[in-house]
Amino acid sequence: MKPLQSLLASTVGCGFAAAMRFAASCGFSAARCFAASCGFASFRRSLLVFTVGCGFTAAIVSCSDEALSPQSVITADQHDLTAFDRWLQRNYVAPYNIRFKYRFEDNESDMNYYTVPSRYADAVMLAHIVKYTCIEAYDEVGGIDFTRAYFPKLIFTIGEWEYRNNGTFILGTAEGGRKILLSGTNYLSQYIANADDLNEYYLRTIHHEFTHILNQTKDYPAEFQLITGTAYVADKWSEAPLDKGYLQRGFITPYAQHSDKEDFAEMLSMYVCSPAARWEAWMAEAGTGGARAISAKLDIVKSYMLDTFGIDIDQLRNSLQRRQKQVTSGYIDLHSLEE
Amino acid sequence: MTPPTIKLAKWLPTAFLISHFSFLISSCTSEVDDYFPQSASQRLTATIDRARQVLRSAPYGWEFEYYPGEDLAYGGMVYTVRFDSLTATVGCSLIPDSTETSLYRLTNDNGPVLTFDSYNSLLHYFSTPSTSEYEAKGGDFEFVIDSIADDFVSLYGKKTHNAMYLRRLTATPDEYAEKTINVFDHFVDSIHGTIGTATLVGKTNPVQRSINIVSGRDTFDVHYAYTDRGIRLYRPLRLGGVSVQSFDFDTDSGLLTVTDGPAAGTTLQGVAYPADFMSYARYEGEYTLAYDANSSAPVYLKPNRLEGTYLMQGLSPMYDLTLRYDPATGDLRLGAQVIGSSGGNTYYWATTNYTSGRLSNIGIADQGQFTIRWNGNRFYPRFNFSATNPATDNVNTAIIIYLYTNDEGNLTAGICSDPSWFTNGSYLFANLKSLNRKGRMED
Repeated sequence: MKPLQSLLASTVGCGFAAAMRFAASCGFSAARCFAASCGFASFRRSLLVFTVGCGFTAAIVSCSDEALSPQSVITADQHDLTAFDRWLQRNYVAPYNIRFKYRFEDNESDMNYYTVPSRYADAVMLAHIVKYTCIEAYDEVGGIDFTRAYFPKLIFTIGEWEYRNNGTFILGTAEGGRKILLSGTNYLSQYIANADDLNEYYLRTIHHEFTHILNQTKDYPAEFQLITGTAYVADKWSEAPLDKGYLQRGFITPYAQHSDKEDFAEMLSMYVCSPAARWEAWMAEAGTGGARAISAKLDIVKSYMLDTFGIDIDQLRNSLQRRQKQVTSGYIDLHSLEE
Repeated sequence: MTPPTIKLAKWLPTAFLISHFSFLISSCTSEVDDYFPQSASQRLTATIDRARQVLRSAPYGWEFEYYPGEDLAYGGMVYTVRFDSLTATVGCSLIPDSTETSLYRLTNDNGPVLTFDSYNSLLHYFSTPSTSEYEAKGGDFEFVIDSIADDFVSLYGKKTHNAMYLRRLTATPDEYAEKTINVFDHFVDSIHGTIGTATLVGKTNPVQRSINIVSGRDTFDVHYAYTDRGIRLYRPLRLGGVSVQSFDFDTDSGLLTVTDGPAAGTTLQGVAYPADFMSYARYEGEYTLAYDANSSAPVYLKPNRLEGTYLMQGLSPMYDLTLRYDPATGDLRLGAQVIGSSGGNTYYWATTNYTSGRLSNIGIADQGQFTIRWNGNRFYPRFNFSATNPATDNVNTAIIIYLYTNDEGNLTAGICSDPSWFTNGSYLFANLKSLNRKGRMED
């Protein structure tokens, strides 16, 4: 005597197979079969009814297709365009597909710091400066296709520096090879007249971050880090005694001692953003050993840029120096939003 | 192959079928009914559209009651804001004829959000950080919208979650500011009275906008903002079984009258400052800066009620000096400070001792500071200079220098030689003596 469960199990198993065969063979004669069956006396008929019933129920109450609404639930922010937006469209988006975000967005900011938005007028100046002294300098030396391919597609600006709790502050950051955050925009009108300040606070940052982006696309030769390989100190770079005597140790800035990646970015940005005479003065100050190390690293930087991207960094330096002078001398209109 | 013949109870197949039908029915119709008729993002868009329409509909703009800082350390500040399709025109109720335009946006990142997304030196004052204040003054500039009515919008700050309100203005921002400044300038030293069944006394801190209240055995602080009619507390004050929040202030009698709720009409008596105490508002006016053997320069002390400081104007077209007010003593403090930049150099008003010539440390707050104190004479009012910390730096002289970073990276100073920064043809203020007020001291 079989227990009830196994009876049901075998019923279901066999019944289902039976039903399938029935359904297959009795397709559209199912209706007639159903009508003909007078009850549930026959098991086969019951199974037939079961199959038909399934189909029927399915037809009635199946996970009903809601008609999809033609209205999207993703709603975009709307706001009117300013004159600056239209200028950016013509000068950043159309030629380079670069988005210059001058209005504050919480999600683009670094949530570890208290910050404020950029002043509109200063953001206008910064957009002109970045375009004239960085983007167009690379256009001139590397061709516009180079800039279109490699320059970061998103620039986000904030008004104040990012202050840490020890009195120091951050000038800018680069993320993921695609975005640069520039801080301290609201001080631009204060620093604009002085080339050193402009360089120190704004231009070197952009060139430094752009160098990282280039490295991330195509890496530099491994020999670079062997030249002063044992002297890299990571976060200790700003502590005494490492904050002095770095030239003699073969590093162009204290920050270059951080790691080979930062060293490379500092080398390139310092070289192109400083006049030739100043570079010579640093080499003199570095002494024989320091100058030899720096020059060896500079050679790698030069050939990397030339061979990989076709950029002669001496030409880049000339272009940059010329453009910077034109900006600080007031020759370039940094406020115009006209055509 | 024929299906096996199995003897079954008659009801078994029926039961089998019915139970499976019900599974089918219940599994496919398991949709939960939507609570709202529209999707969440549609409702969000509708709220933002309504906010946009309401905010732009006020011809004079809005009274924006704003509270920075989670700890409410600065009390409340009322701004006036008018919104048009692109820009917000902001004024501060404590700065006469103030107006600055910047951008704003209504967006949906944290719910419906009103953000002032380009810099406005008035509205972003409490949010702006600095080297010495890396967390700024805890101010928000992005606000989540709680509720919208035609003439009242309630918001809260994204960072602080402080409750803030927009109320439709019925007069121009300048008129609003004029009345608010009047309240501020006449505000009282202390208050006393009865609310409900409780008596209280309170000591005001009018620059930080708080009142320390003692009632029975309780002591606590309340924070407020100045309005065109009087003051409004951040939270309703529950005392003596009654709740009060908004007060009218009568500048002549010093009376504070409750204007809202069931206790409307209750009055608290304000007590003015003693005649020999320099309240903040009393400093405004014309003076002569006396120094050296017999040098003098005419100056004007202009209040910055937003910061609780004074500007000394008139020494030079290139700069003004900032003086701080000490509410505890009623004195002014004048310290070494950056006064501007030109030609890539930073100019600094440095303090020193005439004899020793040693400059007080640049960049360290409150070093080399002067205290300026009234001599109490109402007919010939003099405000005398003395070193705040004579033991550490016995300053008596000021000098204009310029700062630059030398090649070794060290901050270096040179004496200013640009005459546009001079006063009386010199960079030197030797042996500063006093600020002599023009005319008598008013009551």
